[in-house]
Amino acid sequence: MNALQKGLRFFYKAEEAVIALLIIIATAVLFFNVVMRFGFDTNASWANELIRYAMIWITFIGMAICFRKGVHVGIDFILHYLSKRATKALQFIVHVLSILFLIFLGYFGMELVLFSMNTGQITPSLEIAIYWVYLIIPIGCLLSIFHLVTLSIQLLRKKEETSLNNVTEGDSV
Amino acid sequence: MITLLIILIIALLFISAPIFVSLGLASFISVLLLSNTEPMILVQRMFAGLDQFALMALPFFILAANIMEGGGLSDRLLRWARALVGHLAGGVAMTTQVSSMFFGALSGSSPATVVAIGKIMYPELVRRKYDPAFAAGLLASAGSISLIIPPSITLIVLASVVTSVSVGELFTAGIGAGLIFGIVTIIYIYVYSKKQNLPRDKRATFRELMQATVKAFWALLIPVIILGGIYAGIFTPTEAAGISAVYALIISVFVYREMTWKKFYDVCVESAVTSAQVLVLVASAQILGWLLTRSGIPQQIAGYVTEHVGSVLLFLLLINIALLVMGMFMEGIAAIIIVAPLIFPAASGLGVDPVHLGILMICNLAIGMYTPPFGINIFVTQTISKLNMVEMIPGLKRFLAVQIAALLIITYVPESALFLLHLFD
Amino acid sequence: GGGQEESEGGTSGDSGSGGYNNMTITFSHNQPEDSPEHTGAVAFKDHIEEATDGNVTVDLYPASQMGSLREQVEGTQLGEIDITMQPSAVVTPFVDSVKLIDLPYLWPASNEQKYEVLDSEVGEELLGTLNEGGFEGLGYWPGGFKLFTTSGTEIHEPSDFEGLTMRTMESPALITQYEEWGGSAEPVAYAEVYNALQQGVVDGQENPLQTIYLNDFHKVQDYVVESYHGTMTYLLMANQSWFNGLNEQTQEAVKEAEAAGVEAAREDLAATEDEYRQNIKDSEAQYYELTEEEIANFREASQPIHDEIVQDESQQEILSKLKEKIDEVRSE
Ligand code: NA
Ligand code: NA
Repeated sequence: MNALQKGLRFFYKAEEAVIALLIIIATAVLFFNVVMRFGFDTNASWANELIRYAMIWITFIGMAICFRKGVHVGIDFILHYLSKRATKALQFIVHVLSILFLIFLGYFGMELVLFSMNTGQITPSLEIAIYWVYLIIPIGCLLSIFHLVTLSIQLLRKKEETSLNNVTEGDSV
Repeated sequence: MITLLIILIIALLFISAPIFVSLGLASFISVLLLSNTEPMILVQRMFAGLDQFALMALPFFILAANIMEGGGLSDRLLRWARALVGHLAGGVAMTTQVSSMFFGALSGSSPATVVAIGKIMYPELVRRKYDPAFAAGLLASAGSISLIIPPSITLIVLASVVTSVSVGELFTAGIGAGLIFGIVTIIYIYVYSKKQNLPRDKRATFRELMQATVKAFWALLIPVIILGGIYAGIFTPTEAAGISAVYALIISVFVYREMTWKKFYDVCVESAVTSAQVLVLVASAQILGWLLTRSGIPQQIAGYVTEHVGSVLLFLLLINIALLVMGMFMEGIAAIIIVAPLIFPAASGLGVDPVHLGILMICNLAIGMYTPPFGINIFVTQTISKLNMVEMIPGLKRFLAVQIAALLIITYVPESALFLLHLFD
Repeated sequence: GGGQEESEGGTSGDSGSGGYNNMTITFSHNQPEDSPEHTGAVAFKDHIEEATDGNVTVDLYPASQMGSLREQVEGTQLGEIDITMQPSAVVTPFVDSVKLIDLPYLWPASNEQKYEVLDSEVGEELLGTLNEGGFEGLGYWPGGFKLFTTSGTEIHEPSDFEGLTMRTMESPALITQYEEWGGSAEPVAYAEVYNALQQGVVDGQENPLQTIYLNDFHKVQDYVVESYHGTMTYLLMANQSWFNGLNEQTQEAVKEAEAAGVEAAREDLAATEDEYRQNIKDSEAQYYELTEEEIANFREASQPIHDEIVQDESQQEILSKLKEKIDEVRSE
């Protein structure tokens, strides 16, 4: 394993650790909020908001991981009628189109972040600036683009097929 | 613009681009080329699609189901269910349907129901020689029932859009309609399984049943905690989901001792990834729904339909058809927000009971959850069954026919759904 | 393409006949079509369409068709919605100063007196703070006084909130209000309130008569308390750069239509409130109106909360002017 591969592997593990941590935090907050309600007749007004935003962060980081693992849901019947070569070409095209979408989403997501920075909207319960929540959108897009570029390079260099949609699950899952 | 949008979506789906990429890319291109709409608004709509109280239960139900599976709870529950009904024709399929109904009674989220039940029951159905397409169709359609059986987020949204009906009335009617859907499906499963002569279990002895019950005791408490918690007014579905996840974790680590911390970590990663898989779809569906609302096309169609119809029976039939078609392409809440304000005034002009119409809407949209090309339950079932959509279609068609039969009963015998409501009056 | 291109072709400000801009206004709000709010919106639409000989048309999007409350405010900020009518509480995370409107026991217990203060100079000044968030404040639209509804505990004094969790709109000021009274608060989404009350996630909530009645909140609550502690005040607001881009004549037409709309909404509200109150009294929920003395106690206990919530100097200045005006109106 060379340094590049080691670095990649560490990066992948870190990405997964973040979403695992987020879902654990969300569950813990949810659980303790219920305990607080029964035990102490009180409620953290920010609990719901924190859970929703954790879920949104999970979604956009998870979006990138789903690209890496090739598990995004699609209607892939056409792949059953194509030759291996054609499948590979189509997969490459789909990667390029996905990158195009992610550029749009990331770019206008970043614009939304900057817009919110200027207009100063805060979240009602946590009272943090909302751009901290929006920021995950461009971040998720960058991560996704990184994975798609890596996959496309692999696709061009190697003979083997990489799965596109929901055919196999990744190594650690 | 809508024409370009629809052409692009179909083209992208056809070349097997991920569904959320197809919807999102088509929307961005159409908006950038042909409209003055600020593109940031598309990002805002995706965010809005996720930033919903209603969706919060989803990751926790996924997590709870994964922990139950990894920690040996599902396994014990299943053995218990098999000891109980496995000897009946279609016993495992019936268990799937009935447990989906139970789950629907504690979850407002249809895809969460498919995940929770499917993770456990799908492998079992296939192992018991059920046709995978049948099993997948059963799962996807059985999950849709959670839209109809209260608590249902979709019903609440409907009541908030149409003020002539109350949430309470819709919930009560939802129980009746959900039962009709369930009973009709169970009859079909029985007939199908008899015909197919699927292998049955030997009837378990009382001793065997008791043994299975003792082994499954801690797991059996979960539905009690969840159902009891919600109907006793203690938890929300989201909280019930979170609590069942924590409870399942405790049981599987300390009682069954089948869950290591390493395994727990992997379950968390898997649950988060599966949640993201579903949630990106919800987010992108929101963009599409919004662009359609803005275009005014669904409103025009609905307006035309209501203008040229005189009879109640024909009106209800047309509503059913229109909503079934709409449900093929749209997510339920988006469809309600667009259609309900237009058809309810027309319906009251014709003298249609608004609660009846409301529950019919929900039944149609529930069916739409698993009708191709766009149905979240299909996609979720795909992640469980690893079948592609084409492979699933024969199974989906069976249950579509069955549930349309249930829908017709509810349409033309309103009392079948509304009897509970009139009982309470 | 659909109607969208047509409607947006106009918003760029083409000049039409008679000196008016030729355009379609996108107008959104949250309430159903049989609400006083919608009556006002329709009056706005009818007035401006007639006054401008059809040069200006209005597309109404009631019942949160354009998204949740927060999203509609943000959509207006982004310029996707031209005009929106939103509760002041929901605008607070965007423009902090409007939280003054929701301070507990700030207003006199009379709609007419409240209207008089809002229509005064200091009302205008407060409306002007909306510019900070990129909005043009067009006016205050009425939603009536909020009532407490609770289960288990009937509210007579602030300490009755101890151990209760109240649902509020998404506003830091409203959360602080209940925390200062000794309870806790949780901003549950509007569509979820019924369920949250039924399942006891929250013990109570606050809303005007029509919202309580039309959503059946009284059926899942034990007590409905007419408290006069606060008002549902809607801000009718436009995207600022959109509004500034209109020619003077069209801006005038918008302002006149606003006046016609707010009048229609106030009339409709007055006409329906008694009916809703009677229906709630006839239901199984206990209806209670705080006595003058209880209100006075509440009012006194709430003054420190004003200082707690309002710490910014310029906000304090507006608040003292508001209180001055309120005293003046009350002594009339
Ligand atoms: Na349900
Ligand atoms: Na569908």
